Amino acid sequence: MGQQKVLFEAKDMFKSFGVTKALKEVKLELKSSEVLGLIGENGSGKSTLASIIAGIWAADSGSMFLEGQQYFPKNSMEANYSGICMILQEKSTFDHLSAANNIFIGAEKRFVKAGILDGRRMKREAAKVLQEIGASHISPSDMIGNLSFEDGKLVELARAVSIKPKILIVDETTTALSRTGRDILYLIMEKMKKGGNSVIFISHDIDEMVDKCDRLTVLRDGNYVDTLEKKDFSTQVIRRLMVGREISDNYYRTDSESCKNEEIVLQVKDVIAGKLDNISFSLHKGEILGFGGLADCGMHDIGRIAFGLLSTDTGEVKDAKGKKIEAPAQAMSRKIGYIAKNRDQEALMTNSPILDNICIASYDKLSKNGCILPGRENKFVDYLADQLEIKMQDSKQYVMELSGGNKQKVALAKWLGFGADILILDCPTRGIDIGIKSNLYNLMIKLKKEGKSIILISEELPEVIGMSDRVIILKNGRISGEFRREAHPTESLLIDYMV
Amino acid sequence: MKRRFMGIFLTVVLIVMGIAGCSQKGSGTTDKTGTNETTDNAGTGNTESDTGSMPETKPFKIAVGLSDSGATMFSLMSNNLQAFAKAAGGEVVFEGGVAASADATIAFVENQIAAGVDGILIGPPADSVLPTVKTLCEEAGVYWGICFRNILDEEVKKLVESSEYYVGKCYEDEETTGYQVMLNLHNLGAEKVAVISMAKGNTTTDLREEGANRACKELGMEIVAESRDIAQASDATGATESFLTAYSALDAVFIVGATGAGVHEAVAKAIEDADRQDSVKLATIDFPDSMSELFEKGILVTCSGLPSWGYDPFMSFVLLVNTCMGNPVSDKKVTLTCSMFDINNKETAEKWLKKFGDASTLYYTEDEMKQLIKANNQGLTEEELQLKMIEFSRNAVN
Amino acid sequence: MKNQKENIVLKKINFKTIFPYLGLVGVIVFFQIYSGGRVLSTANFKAIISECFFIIIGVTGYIFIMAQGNLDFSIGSVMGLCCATAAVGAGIHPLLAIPFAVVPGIIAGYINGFVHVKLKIGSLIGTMSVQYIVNGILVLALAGGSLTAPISMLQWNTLTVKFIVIIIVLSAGFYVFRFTAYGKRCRAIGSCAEAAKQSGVKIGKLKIAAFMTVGAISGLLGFFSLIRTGTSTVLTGSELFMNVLCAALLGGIPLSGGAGAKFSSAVIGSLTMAFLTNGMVLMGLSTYDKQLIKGIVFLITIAISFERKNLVVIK
Repeated sequence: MGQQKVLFEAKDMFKSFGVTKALKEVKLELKSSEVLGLIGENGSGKSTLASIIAGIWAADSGSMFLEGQQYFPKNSMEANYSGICMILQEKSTFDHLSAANNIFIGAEKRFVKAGILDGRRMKREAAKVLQEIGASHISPSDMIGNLSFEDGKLVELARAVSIKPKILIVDETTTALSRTGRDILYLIMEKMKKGGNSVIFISHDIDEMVDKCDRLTVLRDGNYVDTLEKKDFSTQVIRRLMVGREISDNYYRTDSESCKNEEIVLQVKDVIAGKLDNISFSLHKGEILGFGGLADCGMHDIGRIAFGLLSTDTGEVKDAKGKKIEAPAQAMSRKIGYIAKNRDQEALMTNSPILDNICIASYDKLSKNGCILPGRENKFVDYLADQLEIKMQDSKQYVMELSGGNKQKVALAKWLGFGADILILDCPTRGIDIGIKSNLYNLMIKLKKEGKSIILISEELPEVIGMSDRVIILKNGRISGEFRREAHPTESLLIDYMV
Repeated sequence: MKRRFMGIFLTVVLIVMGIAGCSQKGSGTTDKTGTNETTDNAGTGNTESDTGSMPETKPFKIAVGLSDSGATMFSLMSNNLQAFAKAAGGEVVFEGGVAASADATIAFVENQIAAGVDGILIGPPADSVLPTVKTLCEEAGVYWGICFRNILDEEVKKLVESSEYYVGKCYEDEETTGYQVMLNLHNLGAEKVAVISMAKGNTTTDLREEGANRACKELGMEIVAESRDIAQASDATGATESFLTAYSALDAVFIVGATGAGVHEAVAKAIEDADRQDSVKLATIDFPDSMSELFEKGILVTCSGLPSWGYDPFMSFVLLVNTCMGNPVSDKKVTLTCSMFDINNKETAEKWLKKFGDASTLYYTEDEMKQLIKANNQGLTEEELQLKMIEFSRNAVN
Repeated sequence: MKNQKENIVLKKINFKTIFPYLGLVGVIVFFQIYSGGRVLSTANFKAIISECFFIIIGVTGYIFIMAQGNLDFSIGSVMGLCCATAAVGAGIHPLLAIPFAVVPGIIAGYINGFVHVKLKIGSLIGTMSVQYIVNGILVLALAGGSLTAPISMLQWNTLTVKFIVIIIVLSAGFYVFRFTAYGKRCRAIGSCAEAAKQSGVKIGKLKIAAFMTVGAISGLLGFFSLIRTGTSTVLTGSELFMNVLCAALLGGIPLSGGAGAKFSSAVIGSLTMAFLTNGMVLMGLSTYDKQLIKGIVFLITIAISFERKNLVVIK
């Protein structure tokens, strides 16, 4: 190590979006045969930098060199031709095309003979690629729309591998993958390295980064901070570099007593709906009830049925008084709030000001004789923004301009302002950096102390274990295990119940 | 992205509609559907040497709610109105598409009043718009007159005629015209007739049909089928084809009124294509452009119409100009009727086309026009104007 | 260097937001000069009020639909039908004309809403179909002819009445759109329907309500069309939809709806349309030129102001 030649280099990169400066004089150096981690809090500019390298956006200024040559991609296709390929955080496959078509999208020419597309050969090749990466359970003729999110990601990976890139950029993909999916990804990264190629790896999970990367470049608020060699890796140092201050190691709950309140506030009985198969549980006052499991075990549907979004085939969801909950508006009248996993599409109106997003659930409360005065709204929002320490220019700012963590705070402010007694949080820390994560955990503890109940659905086992009074593990839509906090369940124990 | 596409799509639609609107041609029939308009300043400071003979005339501006180009008859009309305006030392403005709807008529009046005209001439789509026109013009002190239309509603008529700013109207005896065409067909031996007409409620065609129905009763003819609201040539083809299929004993197709170009030609073509040109004849009101050829082919047998389409608005304009100049033709509300003119053979058709198929033809010489200005000719009365109209019809092609 | 770049970006955004205002001022100034000062004259004031009366009231209702990201193609034909029903009502008693106009409008609005929400047909296709159906009913009802209003009713068509109606409708529209839960929720639906739903907004009900609002406004316009022209024909209202949509877009209301739908846009857009049309008449332009100029102005406005916000997500 150390003597490898430089494969790619970026210097003096600047990029602004409107008034927000995303990158300020950032540099990056990628050697051949290495996995370079790009790490930083939300809004630190790592995704922006990666997107510029992958040709998705153009930098305002700065220069890039690929194998010593000036590199300036006009779009992502051009970047692909130059051998740079990126796997995005969000879904970027085409639902109405088959897996094979998605894998070879933009490269169909390879299969054209005399103007006719040889579909069979394409499928054969696709099967080969899928086999190669270890995802042979996906058939090349499957429509992407029918595949799970994870399998969709694997198809994207297959597409990336089929291009045989010199540089593979993996942006926050692992959060969407189960263990098997991750293993496939790690294997691909390993293969890339062996072939003399390189990977730029972006993840929130510091442990994962430490484990998989050879070097780490840390960004903060659009600035280049430092690059660490493998030998200098330490979670503590990385965190400090990312946040710019010391962060305590443990931000979960410290107590080990589960909630003893017997008062039931929400009861789910014999529910069959969506992926759920005969689920029953009850939520108590002041309790944090955690749900864990594999990505497609149905745990996300728990939140949807409890909020009345997903109607039940059989069984019922009842409130404390035994009244049924069948629609979001009904759930809200019982003081239930819900934040979906898909924050930007379901929980927030990113195209609207922060003010509208926070007030929307509370219009009935805010209106006086049918009139909602701007003064009341502003006071309401200012109070909540202050409470939650939302970082924003003013309440007229559009939510889309906020970082993931602040977006989540806006969504929470909506329900706190509404006065929810029961909060259903689906993956509340997904894509959120540690600074804000610990904020959120503290808030949850505070709410619990106030006697509010929380249903916490998460794909992060440590989070579920660290925060919940009770953990329920789902497997294939059924409850496979339930653990109280006192029992100190470990991650490996829970995994046994998940798979 | 979606919204961007939507925006582009809508913009394209708007532009296409705009272009389509521009290229729409004025038809050669009863309805004035042209969509053009221009201004022509006929130099108010007239340099004629004999201005001395025009005492106390003042310059004026009159808006006419008719199209001034798009078809020969429109240009012919506008040329004559402009010539007269020039002779009288005033200005005339045209705007098309006005007679098409009540809304357009009111908007035209409002906008032209705002633009500061002294007089307004309209061919109203229905009697019911007139009270509003009357109110608008009274408030603004603008004179106005009607062309092409009579006022049938007694209540409206009384109201309109009570206004000091209403000058008068000029119209055709549509009922008699409808009767006349049927009579001509009867004389050629036709009995069973199919009718192409405008939608019910159109004052003009309703009256024509009334005349046609009277002819049926008196002459023992029969209207066997009718088709309404023909807006384009292909509609006319379809209508004629179904007439021909359904009635084997059909003697004639009578085009009472239609909008859109090429309707007559389409009907004739459909008759020819069915090889029925020997038994089925075509009759029409107003003179289609292809009149001469259609007579030649022997399909068209009779046309009846104004000697020239623009002659009616011309005479209404004369009334309005005189009032605007401060010398009204009569103290009372003037009503003029145009006599109709028949064309039954190719020779007459050719003579007519030679004269009125040319947009530069003037109805009267400059001197004659000056005599239509009361300031120059104190003896000008309603009766004299009416006589002039009868004379014009009689000598139309001589 | 960096600061300069930032300033340019800032200016660009502001320019886009104020473009509709600039457009209005530009149109007024242009025609004021080229019509020899006639645009801003007391005589023309009346023409401007008449010109924008239907548009401004139409847009006031329409903004609720547009805020939701929907369109209603049927407003013109609904106005035509309501004009006819108003004429029928006026035949019984002149005052009955108003309920006879507004009630069918609300019913038509409900049908639009029902088709869109319950039958789950896109508003574009749904309202287009309703437009044809309503038009068909109108043609059948009028039997190809026209209906007329009692002459006494035409006296209501005065500048004062129009002015008062504009003021009332605008204030009511402004109040409801800006300061009530209904208006705010309409915008929320346009911004992100799923998020609105998950915040307790009853989407279906609100969508139907918005269609009914527009229906009621179309009905009201039908009534005013009747007292303006005294006539109900199949052509009544045929230009309303295009005029209202143009005004809304000129004013800067985005087709996607949401928070970008501002009430001021309704007023600005209507005035721009009115001054544009009126100014061209005052200049004595031909219909060819009018169409051409309208098209160009429209295109430029859309091109410059369409993407109101720099829509980029920062991760």
